[in-house]
Formats: sequence, structure tokens, C-alpha cells
Amino acid sequence: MINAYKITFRIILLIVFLSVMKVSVWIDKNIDCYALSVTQSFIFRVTRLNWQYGFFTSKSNNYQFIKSDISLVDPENTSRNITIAKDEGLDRLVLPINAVRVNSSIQQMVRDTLYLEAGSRSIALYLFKRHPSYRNIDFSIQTYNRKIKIDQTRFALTTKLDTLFNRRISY
Amino acid sequence: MDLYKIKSVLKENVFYNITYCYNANQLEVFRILVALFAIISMFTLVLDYDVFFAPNGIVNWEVSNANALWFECHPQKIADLLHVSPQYVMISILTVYFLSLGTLLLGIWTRLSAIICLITFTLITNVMSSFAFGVDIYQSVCFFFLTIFPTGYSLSLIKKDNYPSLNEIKQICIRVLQLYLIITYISAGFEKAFMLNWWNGRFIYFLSNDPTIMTTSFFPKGQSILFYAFFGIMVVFIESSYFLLVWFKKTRLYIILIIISMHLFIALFMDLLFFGLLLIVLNVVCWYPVLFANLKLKENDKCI
Repeated sequence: MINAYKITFRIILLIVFLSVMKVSVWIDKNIDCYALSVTQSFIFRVTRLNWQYGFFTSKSNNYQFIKSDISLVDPENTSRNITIAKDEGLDRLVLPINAVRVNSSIQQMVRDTLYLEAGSRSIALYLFKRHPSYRNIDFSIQTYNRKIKIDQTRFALTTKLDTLFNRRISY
Repeated sequence: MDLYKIKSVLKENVFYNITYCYNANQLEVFRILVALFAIISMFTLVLDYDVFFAPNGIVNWEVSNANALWFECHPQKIADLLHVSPQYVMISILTVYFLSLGTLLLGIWTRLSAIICLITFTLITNVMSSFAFGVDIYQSVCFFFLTIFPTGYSLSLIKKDNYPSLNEIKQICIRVLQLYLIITYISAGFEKAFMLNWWNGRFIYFLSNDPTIMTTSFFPKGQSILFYAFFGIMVVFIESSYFLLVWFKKTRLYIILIIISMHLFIALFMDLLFFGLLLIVLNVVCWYPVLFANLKLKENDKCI
């Protein structure tokens, strides 16, 4: 019984070690073997013992954050226009405690054009469902690209604002 | 606090310290805290059901299903297989998840409950994969451990019968949990250590000036480079040396308090409440018997 536990946990620690060494990433990049890729995906996804690195280990010197403008609009009667988000995340769609999840999801969306298309459509569909009397949404995403410069003994920031996505979605 | 003796003789080294204490209920405490955490965290998400879980939520199932690998069971696949409404499948999964968390918390068929928790939580995270982050990975791993650990032998409504080698098995389980935790800190710490921005203060400066990360202002503005560099180096040092400092009696209390403070900071100032909370829970579960012994909170506690 104890031996079975010892072997089980040695296997678990081996998987943790392999994930820390990023073996799964290395296999994906260097070994063109479908069966091996499926096996490593299966092991890491089922056990969830992989340790992945996110924003806080970014090697980039340039940083960006994303803000959105989202409005429900009525072209025939502009007094009915409603601002959902103005230069902010999508925090208002959820409880404050869950805002971080929605905002990080938007950060992911803008890194992938296909995802951005699908994501913006999903957000629009969600808002149309919540506000059935509206047929148009103005959706804009801005990226604040930031670089750092050193001013003697202090840091200073430069910010360049780009509009990444700007369109009216109609239903 | 109940104690038990280790039968097998282990060599003393950095991974096994003879002064270590284990608590007979430690795994049960782990089970209860993880279940409690999961109930509270999922309850807050269910309040935003339309956004996160509904088939036409803000990242709809068409997208999340496309992201899932073929062997990953997205609820859309279940709905297609059974020819039922996706909404019905999602509500059923959430109901089963909450019920199994309840039985896990109360200690009823703990291993079966943990298996159901792991399966249903995996289904749920497949739906909300785009909203998932570190805390969900840690929570899945906790459920995975609970499917293997013997956690129904005390602090349970339905207690399983004890057997002679149980205490030794529990000790192995606790050690694995401790090793898992320190490996994650080692990897996070060393990965940061190879990045210049953590040493020269740039990263902490960026962090403190990004309103989408530092949602509550903590660092005073306009400080010198050395000020930001100090905090960056401290994070690298704390995470990289955690594995070492936690094994030594003289330093373990301080490193645990420092790491808990770091997670409190993440929870309060970076809006990552559940991430901070779960990591605090894991640290407390892994080390509370040794800390109690260090602090001599109970006279009966004796190191083994």
C-alpha cells in the first residue's frame, strides 16, 4: 500500500518537474510527433500539474494595457444611447470581485485577431440579449502602449495610444 | 492535536528534517479548506452566470468549444451527445459540482466527491477557459490531490476505518503537497531571476503604473529607481529562497509570514482575491503543525 503511494507520488513529482522544465513546450516546438503531443497534452491537462508563466514573467520591455469604449446606440434617437464602458475595462458587466477575470480575458482577446472578432461578437450578442430594444453597438478597444525611460535616478513613462478595434456592430 | 509515529526510517536531508511535525488531521483540514474555498469562489461566479457560463455569454460556447482539445469534454459535446439544451447541461454540471463540494466539505465519500469535483470543475473551466487564470490551475491540482489523498478518516461525517499504515501514507501525501508548493515557488522565482526587469526595478514601476493591474494604489509615486528595484529583488529573493528557508526551523516562521503577506498584497491591491486566498490556504495547510510547534501554541505538540 505504502509502496503504491510512493510510486504514485514520484510520478506526480516527475510531472511537476517536467512542467517546470517546460518539457511540454519543448515537445511542441521540436518534436513533430502527433502521438507524443497528444500524450503530453493529455497528461498535463488531466492532472493540471503544469506550471505556466504569465504576465509577471514577461521578458518584454514594452507593456500595454487595454481599455474599451462600448455604447448601445440608437441612430434614430441619440438620446437613447447608453454608455456601457468609457475608457475602462468591462468591469460593469460583472460583480467587482469577478472584474479581473473579464479584464484579463479582454487582454487575451486583443492578442489574437480571430479571437477578437469572435469575442467582440460575443460581447455584442450578450448586450443585445440584455437590452433587446437596441440594434447597434459602438465598440472600440484602445491599447495604451508604454515605454520607460530613465531620468537621472527616476523612471518616467511615455504612453502611445492606439485604437485597435473600432466598429459598429449591428443586429 | 493527534500525533502518530513514522515507522520507516528516513535519512535526514533538506527534504526531510527530523524536527518536522505532522498533524493527523492535516489532510482533512486541507480537504475542508479547499472545499470551502471552492464553494465561495464558484458562488461569486454563478452570480454572473450570464457572463461566464451561459452558452451565449460574452465568450460563447462556440469559441470555448473550439479551444478545447478533442479529448477535453466541453459541455457542448455532452449537449450534442444527449440531444438536450446546453443551458440544461450547464445548470446540471453546476448543481452536481456544488453537491459534490458539499459532500467533500462534510466528509461524505470523500474520494468519490473529489473525483466528481475534479471532473465537473474541469468541465466548468473548459467553458470559461478564456477567463481562467492561476487560481483555477491551483484549484484543479488541489482536487486532483484530493482524489488520491486519504482525507476521510477524521473531521468527517462518515469516517472511514483506520488501518495501520494510514499515518505513513498521510505523511507521504503531506510531503508531496509541500514539495508541489515549493516547486511552484522555485520555478516562479528562478524564472523571474533570469529577467533583468525584476532586478532593475522596471517591472515594479510598470506594475505600479498600470491601472488594470494595480487597481488600488499602493506604491507612492515618483520614487527613485532604487525604491522599485528593492521590491523587485525582494520578490525574486522570497520566491527563489522559499524552498530553503521553509525547511529550517529558525527561518520558516518568517518566510511563511512574508509569503502570506505577499499573497495578501496580491489579494487586496491587485484584485486577485481568490488567487491570494488559495495560496494562503495552501501555505497554512502545509506548514501549520510546524509553526504551531515553533510557537509552542500547544504543549502536547511534539515533533517526530
